[in-house]
Amino acid sequence: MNDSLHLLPTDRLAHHCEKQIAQFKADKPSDGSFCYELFRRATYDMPLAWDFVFSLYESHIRSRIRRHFAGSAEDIEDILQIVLIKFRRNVLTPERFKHFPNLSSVVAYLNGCVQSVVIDTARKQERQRRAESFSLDEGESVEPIASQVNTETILMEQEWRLRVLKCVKSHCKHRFDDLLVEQLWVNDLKPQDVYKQFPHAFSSVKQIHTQKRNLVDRIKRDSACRSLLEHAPN
Amino acid sequence: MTKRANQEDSDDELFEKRIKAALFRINCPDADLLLDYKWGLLSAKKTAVIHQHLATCPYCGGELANLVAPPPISTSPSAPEKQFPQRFRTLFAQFVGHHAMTRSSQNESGRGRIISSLWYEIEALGWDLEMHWGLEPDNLFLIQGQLLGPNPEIFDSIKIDLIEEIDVETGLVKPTAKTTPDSAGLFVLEAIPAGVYALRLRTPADVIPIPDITLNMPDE
Repeated sequence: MNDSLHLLPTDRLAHHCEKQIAQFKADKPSDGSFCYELFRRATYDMPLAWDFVFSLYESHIRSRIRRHFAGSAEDIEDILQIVLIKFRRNVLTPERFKHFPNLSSVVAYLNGCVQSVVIDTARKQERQRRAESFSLDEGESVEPIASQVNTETILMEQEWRLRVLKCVKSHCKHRFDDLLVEQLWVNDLKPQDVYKQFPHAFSSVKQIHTQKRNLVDRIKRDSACRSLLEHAPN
Repeated sequence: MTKRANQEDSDDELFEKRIKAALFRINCPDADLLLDYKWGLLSAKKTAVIHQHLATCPYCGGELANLVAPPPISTSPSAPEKQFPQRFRTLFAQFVGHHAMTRSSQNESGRGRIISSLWYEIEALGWDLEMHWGLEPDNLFLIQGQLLGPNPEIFDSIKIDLIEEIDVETGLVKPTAKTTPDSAGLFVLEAIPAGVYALRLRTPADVIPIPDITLNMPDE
């Protein structure tokens, strides 16, 4: 690599990077070393580097988001912010950056960050839909994606879910109850599918229904568990 | 079935739904951990945990398959890359902070007024680099700096270049000024015109580039 790149002023470096991005987009030979050096400087907290990285790659990230996610402009904006936070945390540290030997690897991982945030968003929306499905009130809206950025909200929700799991498991009398919790509620399998996978554990699908009902009854009789389930964090 | 029994069933169903909503995929790692697993970026312990989870989870395997994989290491670059012989190991400095001053305070040597300061850490060598610069009466800059580190005995073998002109095509650089630190790590670069420079520290084995040393005339 041309070591003089490391000495180039960051704004000139960004200019060269922008030219090479245009070359790449026009399917012409391009040199990734300028943009790679820009990412490296952002890793080392060099002033302006992260701002240039963002301005040069923002449209790329947005188009990748749109490829994987159909949502409002506001949702896409929220996902963009989460992608940037995760990318900066997961790549742009000197220790982590060693794992990315060239620009292709950095941009591929950036694309992976987009995918992972979209996956997590879809998971959360699925959980919200399930939570909504039992609500007796109509018109309850899906939690906005922006809450995924709020660390306190995320931690509160995680803590609540773990407390629910602990409460539920405290009523498991034997390992087959644990199996039911895992397969019926964590993995959301139907009783007939649980029986197919674990025929040695249960004598019939009916037995699964009976055991599940007994478990639900025990949990329901526990006022602490009931209260916990009735007061999910927002 | 009685109306009461129907109501109880409905309540049980609702209650179970609450449990499901709370516990759905509670054991699944966040997708960015799956990404790191796919890229081999996790510790051995975390890798083993995720590997075990993938063996039983009906969802994560599909998500993992859809995540982008690391690109193969290309043996032939798409464009001719500029290759220059490397005689030195290149180390990088972590930017710590800068301090822009506008007050008319004299620098430590009693000359000019300090306009700005920069701090860097060179972790690979355990060094800190501190620089500040001030404007002299002739409107040229005086840069003063200090290297601090565990092996000061090598400081006087370090060459420091202040570079303004950089040709990325040829790799040629033209130093505006050169110096060497004393045994205390102190160095001075004098009579520097305003402009944007890079500092290059060269030890017998390493090169440490520091770009963006911006010497601006202060706003009056």
